[in-house]
Amino acid sequence: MIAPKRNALQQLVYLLGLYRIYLKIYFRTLIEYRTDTWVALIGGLCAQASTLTFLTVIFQRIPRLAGWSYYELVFIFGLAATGRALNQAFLNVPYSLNGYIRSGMLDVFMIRPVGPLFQATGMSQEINGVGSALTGMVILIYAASHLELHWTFAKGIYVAVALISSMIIQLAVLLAIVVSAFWILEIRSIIYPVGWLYDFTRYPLQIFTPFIRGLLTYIIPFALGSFYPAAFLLRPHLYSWAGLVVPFVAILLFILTYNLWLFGLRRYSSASG
Amino acid sequence: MPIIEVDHVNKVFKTSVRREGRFGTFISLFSPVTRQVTAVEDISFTIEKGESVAYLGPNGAGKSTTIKMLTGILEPSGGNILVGGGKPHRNRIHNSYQIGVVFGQRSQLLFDLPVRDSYEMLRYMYGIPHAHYRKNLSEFAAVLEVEQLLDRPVRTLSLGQRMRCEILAALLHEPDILFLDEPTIGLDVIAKERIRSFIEQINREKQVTILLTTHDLDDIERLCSRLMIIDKGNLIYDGSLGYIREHFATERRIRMVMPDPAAATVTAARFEGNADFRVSVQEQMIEITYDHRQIDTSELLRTLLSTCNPRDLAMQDENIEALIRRIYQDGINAVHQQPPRTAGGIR
Amino acid sequence: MNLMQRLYGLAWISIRERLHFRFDFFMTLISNLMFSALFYMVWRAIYTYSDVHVMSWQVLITYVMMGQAINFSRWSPADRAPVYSASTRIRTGDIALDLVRPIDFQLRRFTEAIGFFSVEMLWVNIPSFLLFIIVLGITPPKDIFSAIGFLISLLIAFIVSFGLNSIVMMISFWTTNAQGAQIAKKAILDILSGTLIPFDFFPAALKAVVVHLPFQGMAYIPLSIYTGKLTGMAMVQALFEQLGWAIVMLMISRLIWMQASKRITIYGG
Repeated sequence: MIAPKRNALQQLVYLLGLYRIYLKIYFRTLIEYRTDTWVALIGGLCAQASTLTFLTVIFQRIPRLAGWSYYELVFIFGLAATGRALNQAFLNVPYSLNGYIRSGMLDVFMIRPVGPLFQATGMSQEINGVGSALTGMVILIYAASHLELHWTFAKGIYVAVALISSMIIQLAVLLAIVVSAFWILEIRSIIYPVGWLYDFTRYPLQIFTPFIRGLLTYIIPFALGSFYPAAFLLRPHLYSWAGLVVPFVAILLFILTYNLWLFGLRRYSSASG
Repeated sequence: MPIIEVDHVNKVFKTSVRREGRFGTFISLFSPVTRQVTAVEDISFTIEKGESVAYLGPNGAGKSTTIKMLTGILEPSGGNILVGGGKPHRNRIHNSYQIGVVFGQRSQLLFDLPVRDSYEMLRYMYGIPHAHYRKNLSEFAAVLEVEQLLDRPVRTLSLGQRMRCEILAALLHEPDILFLDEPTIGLDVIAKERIRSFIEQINREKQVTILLTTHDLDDIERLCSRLMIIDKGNLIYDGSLGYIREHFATERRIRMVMPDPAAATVTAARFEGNADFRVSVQEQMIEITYDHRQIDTSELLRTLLSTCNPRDLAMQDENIEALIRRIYQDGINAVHQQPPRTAGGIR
Repeated sequence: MNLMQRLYGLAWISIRERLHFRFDFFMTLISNLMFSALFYMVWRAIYTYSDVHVMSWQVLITYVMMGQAINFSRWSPADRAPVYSASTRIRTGDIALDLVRPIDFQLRRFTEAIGFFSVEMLWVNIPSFLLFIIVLGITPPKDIFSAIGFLISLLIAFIVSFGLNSIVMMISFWTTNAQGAQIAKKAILDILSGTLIPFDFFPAALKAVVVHLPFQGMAYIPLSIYTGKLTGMAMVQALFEQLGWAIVMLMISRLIWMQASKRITIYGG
């Protein structure tokens, strides 16, 4: 066969269709292993419930924390947790990539007519994340219903943009670490602690020391995918800059990391064994 | 124009070495120690469309590295590779349409799902038109006898069944070249035979170019008119299997069973003085090994039979597998002192 | 060789094996310190912005930080590795080989767990503990009785934790998704064992439930002994209660194991 020619739009439609096939495949796997699916869903639910209990138990005793009310705190938490869960559900590839490299699956991906990163992403869904994402959204809606946010269509769109940006920022940071493992083998264990750093951004950043605040804003900018967009929705006048900066940084980080990945893949082709 | 051209290709790997000692891991983190390993050294060959070539060599000789370079997974460190006129690693997507790959050790198929689901995924991925897909699937499935397996989850298949399904997966997009990495490893005789006859058929009928790596000489005998042997990164032989058998398998063995082997030993002693001539006796059996180019077989037999009266007699050429093992171990020159003048011989 | 010597040998092998995990343990230490810092800052904010205090800042932060130092619900290799290896063995069928070994499967897992626990103590718990005392100024045990009680309680907590991990491991016999079960376990433990928040902060209804669950043996009891909330007879009583739960957990895991091994014998793994 000869490679079909596609323009950018056709390519996008093609890739979306392929992702749909991956989702179908994953869904069938879930049905195939029903018990596993339940265990995973319950695991995800428990994880969110546990953190929410933590939040409820300690924050209900205090009227305000660093100027944020209880429901505002829950809103921040809900947005951050949903972003994390969606990332885990659909873009879990940094955690599985290393396994694909070691088992030789990357080679199989490389002989097919689609980018290996896209294929690896398509094969890396994680149902735990779906359980958590559902809980996260319930938390978000619960908090929003107790706040007078004056919802508009634009705000609704912004929530979606914020969640997608959150997913991409996390993907970019974690992928950068995994790709570094093409050069520095031992670095891959760092992915777990760095991933966990995201948990910090479920709280108002004001409660942390300036060092942590700077770290999460400028160096590992998880807060741009969780606290800041939530703060922008709650206090638009105070955090107006976050409106455009959040998606912009997400796109920028994605481009940077994608190029780093291509660079790493070239290294894999030329130097590794 | 040849479909595959490999021109003075090298491949050098850098492997990082872990430092010893308590803080080795941490030091390696910041200043990794690397070592260079040459996997393939100055290899050149060409393969024409429709050829069927076996690629042979001991583990770690550079077989897989060559296949990975031809499929675009690895980039050569030096030299030039053209597959279908293009550089495989430069345009991997273009290359993916003209090649099909079967890795013996890793699977293209989705482990937990019915075989058909994997094929559907590949159909979309390659953008195979529905009509072609249906035709190819039914045709190949019939020849490979996997029609009954299509709705079974891959994990429930036996190794032989899975391998047939893998081959089908690699052919759905009608590639010009099929790479097979150890396709018959670990299979039983019947399963091996099925796979061989299928490969033979698509090579003959569809003119699909075949390059297969194997340890199994029956594979080569059945499928490949041409044999390449690689050892320690160097291509040491490129020619036919028949040529090896004719010119390298010079050792022949006669076994006779008789009540009194001692008498035969005396007769056989007449031929001694020949470097490769050996006689060994074991109870009632005598075994004579000789170089059939130096000693005339009929003369030897006539002499032996004139004095002895064996109950049984068997003659055997050197086992080709043992021969190739000898080639690996001692190098091709030790096996064959004078390089033949015929074309396509030793490099 | 008698049984004790053999078990000692197994535990030692497992300690040495675990040293190969040292980078993992080092990462566990880093992430443990990271999370401790997170919770320190969260609690400090809570105490800064509110004036309704259930307990004094010093007692609270000692409890919470010690909770992080001895955390049994940590995402550590000591918790993950044995469960994953068991579920892998079940999937590949190698588990059948374990049944014919001369030493009981669970006893082997127990020695393995001791190996892991020792290394985790050495690499994570003790360094964290020392750092918390030096950097955060948390209070050492009030007297020698509290210290000894805490150590005993910690050992029993290890047994309770082993029982629970055993049960989670056995879930692998019915599902291949060991990770889901572990996430659920960690989430439940964080709250119900009292690792993250002392029970004293809980609403009365929740508190009434958690003091009748085995999980308190993995954090609340040892930490309350450490902080001096449980002393004298109350301490001894709590230790016995904890021991009771340890025995119950071991028995449950034993029962599940017997069911599971019957399943292996019938279905061949």
